[in-house]
Amino acid sequence: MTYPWKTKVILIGVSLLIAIPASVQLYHHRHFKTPVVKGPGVTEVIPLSHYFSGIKGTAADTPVFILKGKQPGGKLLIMANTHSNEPAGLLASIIFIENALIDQGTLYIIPVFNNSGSRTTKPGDGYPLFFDLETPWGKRRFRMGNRNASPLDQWPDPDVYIHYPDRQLLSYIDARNTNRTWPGRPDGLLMEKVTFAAMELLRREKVDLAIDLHGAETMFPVTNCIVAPEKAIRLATLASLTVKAKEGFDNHVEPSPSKFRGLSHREIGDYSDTLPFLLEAPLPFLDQPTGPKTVKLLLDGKDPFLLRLAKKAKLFVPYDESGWPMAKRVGQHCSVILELINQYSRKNPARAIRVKNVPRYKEIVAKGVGFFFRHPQKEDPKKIVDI
Amino acid sequence: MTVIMFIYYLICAYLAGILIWNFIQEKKSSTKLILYILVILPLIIRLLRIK
Repeated sequence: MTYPWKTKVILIGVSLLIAIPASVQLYHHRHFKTPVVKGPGVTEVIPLSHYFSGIKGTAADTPVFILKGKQPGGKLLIMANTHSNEPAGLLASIIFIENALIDQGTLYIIPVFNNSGSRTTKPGDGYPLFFDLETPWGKRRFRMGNRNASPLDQWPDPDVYIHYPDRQLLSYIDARNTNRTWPGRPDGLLMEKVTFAAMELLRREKVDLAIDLHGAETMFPVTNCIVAPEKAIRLATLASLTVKAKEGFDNHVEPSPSKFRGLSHREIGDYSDTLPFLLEAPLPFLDQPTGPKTVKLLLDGKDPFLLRLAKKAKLFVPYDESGWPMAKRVGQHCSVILELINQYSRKNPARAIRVKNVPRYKEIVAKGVGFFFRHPQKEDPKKIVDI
Repeated sequence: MTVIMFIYYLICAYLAGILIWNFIQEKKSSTKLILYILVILPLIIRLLRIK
């Protein structure tokens, strides 16, 4: 049997018929814009490339929302979507952007730190491309991204990623992971340039605190916690104890490992005067032994396989039929951020940061995350920033 | 564009060329034809820099 041109052309045609519709979905996802409303506290929005022009015009550039208070004081940087498949941080950062009022000090908020990662997906894991969140005025759509930047923006991958400047050997995939490329360098890989730009922001603006928002598997020991290096661990402990006593949720403290390089909570502390923290909220969606990776699992965190594992004490967080809903995760992030600010301001009154109008854990759990979002279509178009 | 990236583009072009040649020459196996198409597609997309 031989294959004439006709057969080959038909095979190519069938392949394109399958490939093109799939590509259209991915193209739409990559170019989808999420409108964010500049709340009453936002005084300026600048690109991250303002601090390092090496990322200007690339998929790595991303907006920085600045909320400057009436009085001078301390400064805080909040980074979300360092891993874009951990969206509780993104939602918490939008709550701050759209609601926070600053009496003293300045907030810098980067809602999509790994912009490239937020515009790709995880091949083979069947991730949803988008998720919708219920609000009082309808649904609001967000991109569901991946842990690492897109290979469309940083390619090729090395066989082994050699961390700069410590030369520690890391997995090749971590070359695209913005929580392994700190402190970055101006002439390195694109993701090293992103973290270098953020380091420049921290150094030039003399930022006091940096908080990196994440989510982690319930089967991973470093979950439901605040990770902090030696110089910030006292503050993290005070915040952890306070939220436990006042708001009734656990958020234990994990020390930042000194020999594991490239992490934000390690390198920011070592290469600047800023006190870094990394917040991990439990994220059942990321666990391996779950059912399908659906939007429902992402939002409610309910999974029968995890429930069985919880009964065998295999998880590192409390887990029952109620799962780990998004509101709990976002609420924890907001409360811990506010508590870190409170504790820092108490110890450093001259560099205090006073933030109001941001809901805490109980309020977010009671009313839902969407309750605190503004309606982009009903706001002045000048107040909209696409992320 | 870094030197390494340029070399990878050359490798892509080389592999795509070989696969296209094999696709044209294949006369017996339909499985191989499908396999060639599956492997060529990402290489072509990379070469055309479609994002």
